[in-house]
Amino acid sequence: MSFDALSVKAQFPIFHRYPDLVYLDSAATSQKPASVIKVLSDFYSFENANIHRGVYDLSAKATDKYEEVREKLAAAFNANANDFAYCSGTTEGINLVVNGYLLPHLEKGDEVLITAMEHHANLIPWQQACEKKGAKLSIIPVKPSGEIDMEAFENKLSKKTKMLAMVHISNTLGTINPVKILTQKAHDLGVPVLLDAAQSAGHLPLDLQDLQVDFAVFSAHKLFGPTGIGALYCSENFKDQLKASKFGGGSIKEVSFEKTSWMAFPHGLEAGTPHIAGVVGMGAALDFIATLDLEESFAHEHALVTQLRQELDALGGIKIFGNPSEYAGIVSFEVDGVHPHDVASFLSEADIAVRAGHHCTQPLLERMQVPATTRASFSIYNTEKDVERLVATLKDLKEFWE
Amino acid sequence: MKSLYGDLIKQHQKNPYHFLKKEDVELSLRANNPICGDRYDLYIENEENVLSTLHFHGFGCALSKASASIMVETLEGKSYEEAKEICQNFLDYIHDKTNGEVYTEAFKAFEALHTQTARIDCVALTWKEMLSFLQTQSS
Ligand SMILES: Cc1ncc(COP(=O)(O)O)c(C=O)c1O
Repeated sequence: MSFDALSVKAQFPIFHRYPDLVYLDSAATSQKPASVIKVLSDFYSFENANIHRGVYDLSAKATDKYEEVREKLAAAFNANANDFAYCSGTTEGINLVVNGYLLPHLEKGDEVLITAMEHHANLIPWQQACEKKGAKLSIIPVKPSGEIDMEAFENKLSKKTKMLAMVHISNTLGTINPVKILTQKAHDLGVPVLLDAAQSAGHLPLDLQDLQVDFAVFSAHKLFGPTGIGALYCSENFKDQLKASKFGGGSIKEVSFEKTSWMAFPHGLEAGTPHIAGVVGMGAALDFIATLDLEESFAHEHALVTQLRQELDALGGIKIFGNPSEYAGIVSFEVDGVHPHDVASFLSEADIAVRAGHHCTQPLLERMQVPATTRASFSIYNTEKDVERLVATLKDLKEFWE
Repeated sequence: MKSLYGDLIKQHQKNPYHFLKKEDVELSLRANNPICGDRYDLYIENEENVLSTLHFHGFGCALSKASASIMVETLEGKSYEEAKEICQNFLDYIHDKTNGEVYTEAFKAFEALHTQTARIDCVALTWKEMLSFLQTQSS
């Protein structure tokens, strides 16, 4: 059975409202299927109550719904329900690990290892922690192909390394990193690993047990769910060492004016009234993903981006950044002599949504010696026609700027 | 949809007015947008509160470049007071706050910004820098 993108696309109301829209910015945020929107609306309409507090029926039901989503996360990413704490997204998840695990363990002279292709969210928190403690942020270089330099990685990894943090799929280059290999090498030296799965969760089968990473983070809004919610995965070994760094109600066992004791992971990390509707909406997004065959949908996105990479090459006057052997549905390029913002505006006039800028990976672009690129990114609702429209409009653009 | 890239903009982007690095000029302003990396230097030669000769140089998108070029061409020879009003009119016009009134027809090249607001910052970049300079020069 091949993947039926058109029937998938029909489930997304935005394309009914804008039938001519070619949406190629799913790496920034995905569109939302009707099922997710309905669950959000139903929750606020008919099920709304705060959780973990009320003894009345609505509150008990809201609590159950909220807790159930951990089971859905567990099923989607092959882990246990109590391995997932809710957080506002990838950015917050990384900050929780930096503040709650790394900082208490980091000392002067230690190192944190990241790749040169990290999103600012997986760079700045580590950088700030290192600065605070007099530790060193060490960077694994990226080759012109857009792949991690494995030899440099092995040289930089050492007993001084206190964390390896890496992106699964580069949001700028589309590279899929060999996470399992890097994780094994890190574990050989007792180094914990954090995976930024913002671009992989929901796009390909993500098996956390198999990858063996210690921490993983992602945002629901990139996998067909609402904004402002996501999850932090923590493996069994690190739960006791990951301390709360955000304090308030709902996360404590016992409080006196002198001291407080916290609940165990994950609840100890979820202080304050959480984004309850967001969690429920994330659950609906996971249900939606469960209706897909991720091998098939990934193959669909991969085929589209492969077609685009080939056609951009054939057009001439276009530079593609990186040609990794393993890539997902993301490609960054530059049109000779035309600023990426002008490319994006020109495409916008033809109803094609792409992103122009540094994609929150400024140091990576600096190394590639460009201030900005144009990026097209795919999801399950894109079709070959989208690629054809993009390529045809880029042809027009080149003629226009001749 | 009205295009952002009309003939006048294309013309100015290809052949910008007084596009030259004038490092010998003492008074210069730097207009930069840290978000996209666009950066221009404005070189001002002045006589008794008149912008007698203007040049600009730098890099950025077609819209920021054409807009800077039109600004330099429009403001050259104007007194600080006049220039201030013209800058204000331009910035108000691109935000659609002048009922269509423009100091010069050339501004209408940016009419598409009234409905496509995403690129206003590119177009306003050098004008805002010039206006804030002129405001510090007020008597
Ligand atoms: C690879 C990667 N990491 C982290 C983030 C940050 O995600 P959020 O803004 O949802 O916290 C993004 C989003 O653009 C991303 O692509």
